[in-house]
Amino acid sequence: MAQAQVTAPADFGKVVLDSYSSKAGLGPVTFDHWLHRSKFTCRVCHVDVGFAMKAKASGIQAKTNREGFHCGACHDGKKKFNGVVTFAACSEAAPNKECARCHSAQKEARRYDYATFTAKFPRSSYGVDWEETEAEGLIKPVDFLEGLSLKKPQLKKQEDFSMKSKVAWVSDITFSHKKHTIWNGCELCHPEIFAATKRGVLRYSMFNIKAGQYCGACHGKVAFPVESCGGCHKNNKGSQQLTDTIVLPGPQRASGFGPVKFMHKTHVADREIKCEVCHHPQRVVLPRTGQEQLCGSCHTRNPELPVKTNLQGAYHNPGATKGVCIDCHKKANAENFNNDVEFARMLLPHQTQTIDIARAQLVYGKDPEMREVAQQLIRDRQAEVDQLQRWLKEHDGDTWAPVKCHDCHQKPPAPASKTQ
Amino acid sequence: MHRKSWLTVVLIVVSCSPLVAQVGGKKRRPLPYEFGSVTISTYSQRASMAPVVFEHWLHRSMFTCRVCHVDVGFAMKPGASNIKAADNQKGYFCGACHNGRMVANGRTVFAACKKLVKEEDAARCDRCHSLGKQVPVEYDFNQFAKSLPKERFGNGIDWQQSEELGLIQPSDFVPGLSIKRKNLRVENDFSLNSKVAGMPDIIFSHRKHTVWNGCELCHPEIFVGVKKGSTKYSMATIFEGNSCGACHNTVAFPLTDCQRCHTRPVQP
Amino acid sequence: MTRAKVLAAVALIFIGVPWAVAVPAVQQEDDKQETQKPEAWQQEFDQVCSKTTDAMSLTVDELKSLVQRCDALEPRIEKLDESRRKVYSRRLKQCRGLYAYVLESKNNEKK
Repeated sequence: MAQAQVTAPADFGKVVLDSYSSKAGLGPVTFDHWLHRSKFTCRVCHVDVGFAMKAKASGIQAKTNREGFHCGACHDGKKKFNGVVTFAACSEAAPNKECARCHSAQKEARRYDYATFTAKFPRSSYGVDWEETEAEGLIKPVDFLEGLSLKKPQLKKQEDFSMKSKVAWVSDITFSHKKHTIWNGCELCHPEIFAATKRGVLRYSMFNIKAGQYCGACHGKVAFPVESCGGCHKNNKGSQQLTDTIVLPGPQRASGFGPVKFMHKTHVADREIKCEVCHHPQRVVLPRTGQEQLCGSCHTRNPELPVKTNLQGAYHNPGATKGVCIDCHKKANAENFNNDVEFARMLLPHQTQTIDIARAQLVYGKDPEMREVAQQLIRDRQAEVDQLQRWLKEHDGDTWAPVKCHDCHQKPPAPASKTQ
Repeated sequence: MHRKSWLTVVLIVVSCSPLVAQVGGKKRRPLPYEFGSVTISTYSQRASMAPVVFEHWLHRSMFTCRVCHVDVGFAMKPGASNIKAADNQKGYFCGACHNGRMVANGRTVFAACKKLVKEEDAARCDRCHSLGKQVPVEYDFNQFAKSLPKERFGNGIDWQQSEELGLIQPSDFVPGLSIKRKNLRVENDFSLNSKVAGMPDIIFSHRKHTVWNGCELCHPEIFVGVKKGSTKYSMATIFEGNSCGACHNTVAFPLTDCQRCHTRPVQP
Repeated sequence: MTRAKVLAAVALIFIGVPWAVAVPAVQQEDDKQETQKPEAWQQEFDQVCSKTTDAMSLTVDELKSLVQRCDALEPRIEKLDESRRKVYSRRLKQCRGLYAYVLESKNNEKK
């Protein structure tokens, strides 16, 4: 599975629509959910107005907007919300600059700034906690549009119910109909997203959800994402009982370091680290570097807050005073540790790297003094390299697998992709 | 072990594939004027013509469902009637009314698939064979729907109310095809219990249905059982287009409008 | 002589033109007559299937006879040309189906 990008809170819920825009010579439409969802319930747009739940699935055209469908249902230049008249969408009469309010391709600054707008809203691990915000009355989303919505007799409020989780390391889910119907009513989910009328008939797993089906129709791109496990799997007391020990095999060179014993209990129960920190890391705590956070993200050479561990050098820092390799590796295997061999093997790649740098200097460098330094380096290091290689050969160093840079030096995180 | 892991990989890939994403997601909702549109392309493309797009809303405001689906003999699914231009020319199917002679709404109805095709006739062909073409519409949906009682979903029109209030007067007789019959004696309404706790029971109104359909449209093709309760069907089969779903999802108000059927409060 | 020829030509025109117009009119009349004069099977069909609105108030015997008449009509309809066969076989199916349906429900009631 590819490394997923962590979206910045301001960009979360952004939808890019380009069914016809580019063909018409306009930039694609970028729709930010956060502004609209603070003013309207999901139901109003996705049931009353009739938008689909996937980008480009609604078939919105300038023509349909002008006829008063889709965006044009509110953006008609006449309707007033909070005393402000909405701009007309795709109006042929309006000045051209209005187009850019939607067809902005993220180039133009928006009229409403995310940070200012959501400054007072309570936060969750992924951004704004909309549920809390609504519960505290900081936003009052409108659920009825004059001329569009129709009053219907209320269907009975459905009960909350619990769903068993299929793995031991997360708790059961308590699904709250109440929390969902505030935003969605009934028709948004039933019957299209959840077609069964009897519980237990529909079979789906986290894979389906991650693929955007069922819960994932919303909890992927707009509602709090699936990565925030605790949003649904509340009271993860079950995880406290995680007593398994995972044995990670030692590195390929097998120089005498045994396998690492990773203990869930130490991390989860004793240190109370949330699952998503390592398995789907939060942006708030640490920048995400991988599908599963590597040990080195916390056990770094120079720990910075909010990382709290003093166990440095789990990442091969021989200068560390605590938690040096041996603490993690099995002691028995450590008796086979041969420092001389290790010295020679570890030094070799560093020396050859130095020679490479010097050679590059000889190709590109112009200053005579620096060129002289490079020359000297090559002479000295090459002699050392020859000596180390000879020594290793004499001492069965060949039997050890060669040391590779990335065995110790962590790969830098992939740069954030600029394209959508 | 190898086989097992390979199978797991396949299963994972399949479960994440877009094919599976047909379920559990929200589909595109047709716009009010698009709801009830049927595309028929049994022979059109073979004859180098665009497939036919038939919009129900205009016809259902002028005729009952029974007239077309019983008297004229259209099937309930596109392509099932096997309509050919020859049939239309001889005065069957579309040609039963679209014969250049019948008068509706004060206008003479154009002849369908008329034999002699001149240059100017091409525009007439496009009135039906319009898929993918920008054909100027003769009747504006918004104008039509403006004065009718509103409903959610579907066409956005409450057809049942419209008919009851006399705002539309669908005709139930086509001269030359319909057989003169006595007035229908309407069957009683009855209730159906809902199976899900909390969902109101359904009151099924024969009266509301026979106004549009008569008897033969539903019995026995769509509803086979003679005794109430003998046929077991559920919402799942209805969503698939069986029983109630034969009309309610494609032409009559869609199934997302739960409260239209589930109207009776649940008995304690 | 020329004058006579002219007169003859005019006379011919006078007589000929109405005929030219009348012929299609006559043909139309023929068509009308054809549609006005239903074939035997069509009359039978109209008679049999005109009772569908009444189906619930017919007796079991009446319904049985109607179903039999429908069955007798079927081979006659199968022999028609394609267009009529398509339309009428479907209409007959619906009509017969309804009578059989109502018959079955009446028999059930008796039980």
